[in-house]
Amino acid sequence: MDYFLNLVASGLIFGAIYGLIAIGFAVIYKTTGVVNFAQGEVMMFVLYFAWMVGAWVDAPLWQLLLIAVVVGMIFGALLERLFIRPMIGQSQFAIIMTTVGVAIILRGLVPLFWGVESEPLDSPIKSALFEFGPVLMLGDQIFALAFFIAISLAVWVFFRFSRIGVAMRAAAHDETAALLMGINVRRLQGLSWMIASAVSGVAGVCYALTVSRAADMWQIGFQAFPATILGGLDAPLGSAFGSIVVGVTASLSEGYIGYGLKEISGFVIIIAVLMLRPYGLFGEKELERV
Amino acid sequence: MRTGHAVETYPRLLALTTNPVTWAWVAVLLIGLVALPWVVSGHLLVVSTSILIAAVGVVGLNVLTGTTGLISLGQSGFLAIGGYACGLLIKEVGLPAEAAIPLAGLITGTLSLLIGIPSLRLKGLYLAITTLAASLIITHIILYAEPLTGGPFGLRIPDVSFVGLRISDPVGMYFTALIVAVLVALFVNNLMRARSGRAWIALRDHDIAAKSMGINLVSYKLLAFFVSSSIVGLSGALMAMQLRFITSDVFGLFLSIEALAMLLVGGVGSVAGAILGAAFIVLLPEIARNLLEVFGWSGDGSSTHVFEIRAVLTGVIIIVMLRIEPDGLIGLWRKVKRYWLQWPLPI
Amino acid sequence: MKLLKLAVLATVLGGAATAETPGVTDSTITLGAVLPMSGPASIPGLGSAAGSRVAIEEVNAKGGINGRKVQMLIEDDGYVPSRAYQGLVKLMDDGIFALVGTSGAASLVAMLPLIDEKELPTMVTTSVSRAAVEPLRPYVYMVGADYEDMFYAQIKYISEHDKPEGPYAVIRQDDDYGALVEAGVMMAVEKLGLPSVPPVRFKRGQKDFAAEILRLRTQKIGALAVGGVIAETPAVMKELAKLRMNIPTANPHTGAIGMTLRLAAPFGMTYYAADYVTPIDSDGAKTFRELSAQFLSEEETKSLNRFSLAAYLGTKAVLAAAEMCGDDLTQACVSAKLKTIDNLDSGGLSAPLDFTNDKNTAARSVQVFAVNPMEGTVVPVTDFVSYR
Repeated sequence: MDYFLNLVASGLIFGAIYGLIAIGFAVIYKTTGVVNFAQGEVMMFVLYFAWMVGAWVDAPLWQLLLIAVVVGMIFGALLERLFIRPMIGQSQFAIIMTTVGVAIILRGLVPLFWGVESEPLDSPIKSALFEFGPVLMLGDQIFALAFFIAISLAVWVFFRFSRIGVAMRAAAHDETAALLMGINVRRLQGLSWMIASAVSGVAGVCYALTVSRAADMWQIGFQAFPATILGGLDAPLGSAFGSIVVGVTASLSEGYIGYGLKEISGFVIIIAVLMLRPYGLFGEKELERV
Repeated sequence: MRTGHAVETYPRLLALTTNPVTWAWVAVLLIGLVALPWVVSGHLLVVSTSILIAAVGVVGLNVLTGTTGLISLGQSGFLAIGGYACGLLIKEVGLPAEAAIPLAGLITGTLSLLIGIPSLRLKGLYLAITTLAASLIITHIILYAEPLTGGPFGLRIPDVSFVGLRISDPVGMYFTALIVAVLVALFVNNLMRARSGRAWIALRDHDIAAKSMGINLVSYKLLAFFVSSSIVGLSGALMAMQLRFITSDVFGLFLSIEALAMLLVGGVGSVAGAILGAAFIVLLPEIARNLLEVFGWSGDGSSTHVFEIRAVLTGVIIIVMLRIEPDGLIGLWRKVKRYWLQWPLPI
Repeated sequence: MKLLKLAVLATVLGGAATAETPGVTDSTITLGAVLPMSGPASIPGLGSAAGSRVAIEEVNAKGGINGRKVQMLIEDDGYVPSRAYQGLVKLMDDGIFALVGTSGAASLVAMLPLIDEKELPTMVTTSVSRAAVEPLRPYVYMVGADYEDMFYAQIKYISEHDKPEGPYAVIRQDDDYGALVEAGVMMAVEKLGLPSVPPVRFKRGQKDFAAEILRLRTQKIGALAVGGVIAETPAVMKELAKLRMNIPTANPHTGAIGMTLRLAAPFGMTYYAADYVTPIDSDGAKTFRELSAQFLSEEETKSLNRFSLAAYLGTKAVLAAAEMCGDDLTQACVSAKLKTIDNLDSGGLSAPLDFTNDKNTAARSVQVFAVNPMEGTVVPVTDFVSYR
């Protein structure tokens, strides 16, 4: 039982980091219908940039988080304005490939500016050990989990209750109707990129704290991808939940089966779930009318 | 002057091309391709071979993505099946290359149905994910099936000959790739004009309407999956023969992304576009290299940044291409052609 | 059109070059290297390139090889095997005399058919791979002990020094490199009669080892060998610290580079590592650091690491062989002379270089280090010992 609980706990931690990235994927997809293949790269770039700014002012961890959010919002707005908005009206495929181009550029820029060596993010909470009965956790892991829960709640409240959030849902549901109701859909799309990048910034800080900053941390974007799909690409909260499922399954499959299954178990679940529910666990079924 | 695309008879509609000029150009192109090894050597010939191999893969992907509107991220997995099937057929079964290459294609196509059948309900991006998942699972299985595939130690493919061409000789490998590429291009061009090709296009444009016209959705989608993966498998087989040593690392995820980039940069939906795109993306590092050399940055290692800059440049070129010409190189080509045909009238 | 002209030129030159030795003119010798120069895998690539450059500039400062200046061309493979193949073809087109950088193990294997065809003198230093010397080729040489030896040495040291109670475990990457690590540990377990548990494999690039270490904890292991590349060592230390498993661990040579130490420091664990070259910050590498300060740019100096030392030694050996050939500077001569090198001074960077063995491999002696990341120290606890 101890073993099982510890496995679940460790699955939750990485699930939480996947989840923060997955929320970013889903927010952009929900409002713009674009899958941002550069989500992991955006996380990496925002973190590195925020880290640089933080180093200038010698910021402690909570300030670094704030900086990451601000940098993320500015960076998200820039990306949308420079690369995505000019592509409006092109095929969805072309826009997705544009994000792939952005990903390649960001992957190259990070080592160019900040080198390829990984650096740990030091903080007093990093190596503090916490015990919950038989379950052992480190401070940074609890930090990541806490932020995951806080952000998931914030995203839920935002979409459910705030004026802008409701407008975003409306625009996602029926762009024309939303336009007719006086909603500035373009601005909302820009906003969704800002939100997604800010959340990615938080994900980046959590990742750097629990692992380190590294020039290959964009790869976690790929691992978060099945999590997003599992929950439903257009359901931010659903994809957050999907990430937890993927994280815990990965941990349990390694703990009880082995054979390096950990890294692919998420993809195995995806195939199984999509067979039964082609729109993910919480995705909206698209009705087709002729 | 050609005035339009009005076709008056069915045989004309079904002909490979309605225009004798096109035949002339194709002949010139073919002569050029056959003469290439006498013009270029070494590195450029190897790059040309890589372009042909990539082009075969993209033509295959195009059958699925370009004609049925389904995005696949499983390219690397299908390339891996093709490569390993070809390698094992030559090495373990002792088949000649002439049999091993087409068989590798068929094996890939057949195995792809395992993913294709359950994926039929999925649309657009969700299919991208199941194919992505499939390719990761395929390379995982290859890595762990050590007794068969050599696992992490890889598979060495003996030096064989294909219709008398030795694959270890760059010229021989070039012609091997050229023969396969020409046959595949012909095959797909023919298929697209036939009943199946028309059915696929109908499915892409509006599946429900197509269904009501009596097109069997399930069987045509599966056929597209089978044909596409078989051709990708051929490309994988050629990759294995060119490298003569493969591990599961050779078939990384970047190949899937690269193949989509080739398809998009070239122009979705046409065989010529797929080939142009493959050429462009394979040549991209060379283009970036030459661009940098113009500015006096060469790769002698004295500047450690030159290689990163080259990578960034690759991304920039892809984005610029998409911005300028969303229909891809083939769209650009059509515009230029129309401009000349219509001159002095405005387009 | 320009491309065509270049192509024609290339054929003409290509035809002419075959008559004489590739990469050699009256005044220059050109060496080549295919290395990962971009992206996250570029740490060994940049380090190797800088190391080779030090060897080359050192020779050039003394007037070159019999009056010929040495230069080097590098192709970036980004750690992708098919690009390594293309890169080597490009280098051969440009004309290289010998290959002194061979990227990762998979890249090397992709290049081997070409190397065989041209019998290109090749020095493997970045990723020590068995495929390079099995079967033995008279033109391929290697600097560095097998990974097996490096782990064998550490397990042996742990069994004599720490004498752990529980069984020995290994967690390793699921590729050819990881398999060698496992083989080394199992060799030690068998020869020394130690208890062991089944090995655990993980996918390359994995970041989190919680489940794996939890599993090993249930088996009450007494010592652990970590067959990762760089970031895996600190990641495993983190989990061990979390589960309060204060056991000795054996790690690859990258466990002793500065970046690994910095990453592992927060977890308060010490560990072992082993290498066939001395740590770059140690006294043994002082002369090398002075040399490199003289020849390298600041940017290049930053990229120096243990891979630089191995590449420096390998390049030095190739240049020494070229020197021996005198006016008869052919590839066949250099390959033959390399085989006769039996006691080339390594300046204390490793055991003296000796290629006269049945594996064409020098510097097969291994030194075990005790690594203390909190203090930032890497202290050798054994001499260079050969386990062959």
